[in-house]
Amino acid sequence: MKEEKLKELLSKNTLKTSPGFTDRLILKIAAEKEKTVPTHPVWQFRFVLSALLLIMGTITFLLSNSFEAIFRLLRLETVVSNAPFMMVLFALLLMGINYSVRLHELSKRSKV
Amino acid sequence: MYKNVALSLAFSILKNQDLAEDVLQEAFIKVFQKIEHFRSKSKFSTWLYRIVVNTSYNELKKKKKTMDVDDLVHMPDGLIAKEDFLKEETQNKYINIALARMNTDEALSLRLFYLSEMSIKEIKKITGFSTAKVKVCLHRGRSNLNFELKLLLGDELTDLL
Repeated sequence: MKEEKLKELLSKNTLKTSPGFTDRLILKIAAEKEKTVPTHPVWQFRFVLSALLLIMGTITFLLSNSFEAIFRLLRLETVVSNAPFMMVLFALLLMGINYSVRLHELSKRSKV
Repeated sequence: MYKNVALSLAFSILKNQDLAEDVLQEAFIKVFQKIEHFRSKSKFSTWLYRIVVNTSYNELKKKKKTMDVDDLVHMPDGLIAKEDFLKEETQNKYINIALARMNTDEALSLRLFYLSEMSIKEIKKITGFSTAKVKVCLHRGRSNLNFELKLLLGDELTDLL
């Protein structure tokens, strides 16, 4: 069979869905929609909250114990200040607070 | 718009209309659920057909042990009159039977290439085949379709196509 003839025959050759196909599909999609009600990402909120608590606890610990990391390398004693740790922890704390506030706003909007 | 082409693709793999319709519904639900993930980098049809093809192959894997093509695609009884055969509907019916009797990958490649007018690159994306495999499937598919049609209709009627 020639290529052009084959193309002509196959380009017209589609199967048609049975009459109730679309109705059944709409029903299934509606059922699926009910299943997927948008939920508040509580687990994310809980995760962020626990991370915040952990960071705050670490900061408190560092402040109260005036933490200084000491490394001994080839008889050389190196003392690492807690300032960089504190800066990173404060940055994380701010990011976490920002995230939880955003989540809170989002949850308020979804309730409206 | 896409449902008939998508059904034809699912049928190429599953060789059974009822099963193909069920799989197509499942595929459309997946599309509904994952529409947010669709990136407009590729065409919507390519994305949709990929989901249909993947869902069909998964279903085929599940059913393979219980399915037999000869049980699903019945050979028509008796001879066909020339007048009947000239009708487009009858021709389509026999082409569908011939395609259903063919190797799944070959029938799917032929349908994607000629019916959906996809390029080899797009067929690759949809099926996950290599370029060489797509080309081989198209080449073998053409000759096997001819062979199956001759088996079903005889030389005289096949020449009428």
